[in-house]
Amino acid sequence: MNELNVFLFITNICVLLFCGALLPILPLLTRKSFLFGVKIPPEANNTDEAKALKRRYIIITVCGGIIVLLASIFQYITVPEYTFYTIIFAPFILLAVQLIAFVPNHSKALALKSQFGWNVSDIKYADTATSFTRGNLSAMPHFWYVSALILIFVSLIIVAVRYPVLPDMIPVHWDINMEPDRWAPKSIGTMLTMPLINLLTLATMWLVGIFIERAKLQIDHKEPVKSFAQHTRYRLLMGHSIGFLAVAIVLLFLILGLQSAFIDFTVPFWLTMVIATVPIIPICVVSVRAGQGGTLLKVDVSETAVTKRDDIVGNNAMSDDKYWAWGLFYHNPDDPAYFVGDRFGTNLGFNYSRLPVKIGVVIGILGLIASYVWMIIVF
Amino acid sequence: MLIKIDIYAEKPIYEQLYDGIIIGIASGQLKAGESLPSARNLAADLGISFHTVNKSYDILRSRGYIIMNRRKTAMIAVKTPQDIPEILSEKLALCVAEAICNGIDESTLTKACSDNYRKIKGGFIE
Repeated sequence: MNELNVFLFITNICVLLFCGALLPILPLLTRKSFLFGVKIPPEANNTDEAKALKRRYIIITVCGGIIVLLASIFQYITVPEYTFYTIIFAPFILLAVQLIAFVPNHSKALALKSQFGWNVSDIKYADTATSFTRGNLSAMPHFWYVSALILIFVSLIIVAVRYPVLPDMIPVHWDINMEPDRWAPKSIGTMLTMPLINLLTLATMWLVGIFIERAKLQIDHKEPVKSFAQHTRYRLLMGHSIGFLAVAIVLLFLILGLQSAFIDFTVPFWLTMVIATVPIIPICVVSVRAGQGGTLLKVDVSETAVTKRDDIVGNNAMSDDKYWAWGLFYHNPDDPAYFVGDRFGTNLGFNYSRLPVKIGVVIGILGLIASYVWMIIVF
Repeated sequence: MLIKIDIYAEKPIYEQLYDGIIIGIASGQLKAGESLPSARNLAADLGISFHTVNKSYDILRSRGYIIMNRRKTAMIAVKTPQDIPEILSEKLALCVAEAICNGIDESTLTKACSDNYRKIKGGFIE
């Protein structure tokens, strides 16, 4: 129990340090055309007022993060047996800190926008040749997912062939030297665990791929053609990166599963580490080099097309800000799209007015509550 | 072709969509037989209501610019040369009336008209 608490404590500190470091830099990762979920002209992001808001956000998140960190350490020193509760509830306190820092800033940014007349045009673009919200940008590289499925199928065949000749106890877990440290009685369930995990992982990755492909594009008003080409290219690169990651994860579990099927067969630990880390590299490279939505990518745009639109200026004080509750949650009943680009950070957001999204959110929250209740009872 | 919509402009969105497609056809950016995205897809891409897009498609279809096939997809129709349709002569009369209100004489208006004709035909339109 004591060793477990040490492990939990170290994990907790690592998670808090990572999330705590990420929170203050989120405004820097967000597009220049948004200030705390409010659409503004990119140049307005450099004004003193905007900088003051960002400073306020950074101060609150940094102080909040340090307080949560100190509280976790204090808890570990005084009542170490509660470390488990800290690790599952501390992220929520960090989330609350972020909301405390963000929501007032959002209202202030709205006020600044109307005070200084930071008008942004609400012009939208669509391409007649394709439809990005229905995934017609062909950014979904099915090749990767089909390969992963074939790999899983092959592993199932191997399990079926090897099953009759396996001993009664088979290894299911390995330590850092790839020596088995946990054994389980031979059963069909044990042998099918790895392929099942693999199928679930693949399904999740496939969903992530679809989310990325179908999110609404944010087209730059001044250079729509170029912006569109950048988005298409970015999605293709990201789609391949995610697909590659999916295949790598499937491969990793497949190799571990093979160690159960062939007792003498072991894979060196470093190789599993390589398979687990290398596929992250393309995603990081694409994220950094391409920028949010591919805004940093160089693309060829034919000269005949209208590429520059200097005439478009802010037309109206109203904008789609009203569809963004707290600048964080998009709720537009008229918009049939399910996924939209976030206004804070670089993630994807949902259109919370759509029924499937509502059902998904309810299922997600219920699942979270159920897993928490389960974890607390088990502990 | 990229279709442009200004959500908060004075002109209704369905009219902007209608105009955009008409200009696309006239300037050769949309060719006869080319299919348009489904109303739902276009609505999702633009972030507007599906009924708005349907309204534009309906008007375009009733005036013969697009045809809807059995799978409910819109396609640019083939137009044969014909007399000026009623709807167009109404619009033209309104244009002329507004020109007269602005004190523009006949030759200037005719010249502006033929300039625009050449411009759109040549594809030099946004």
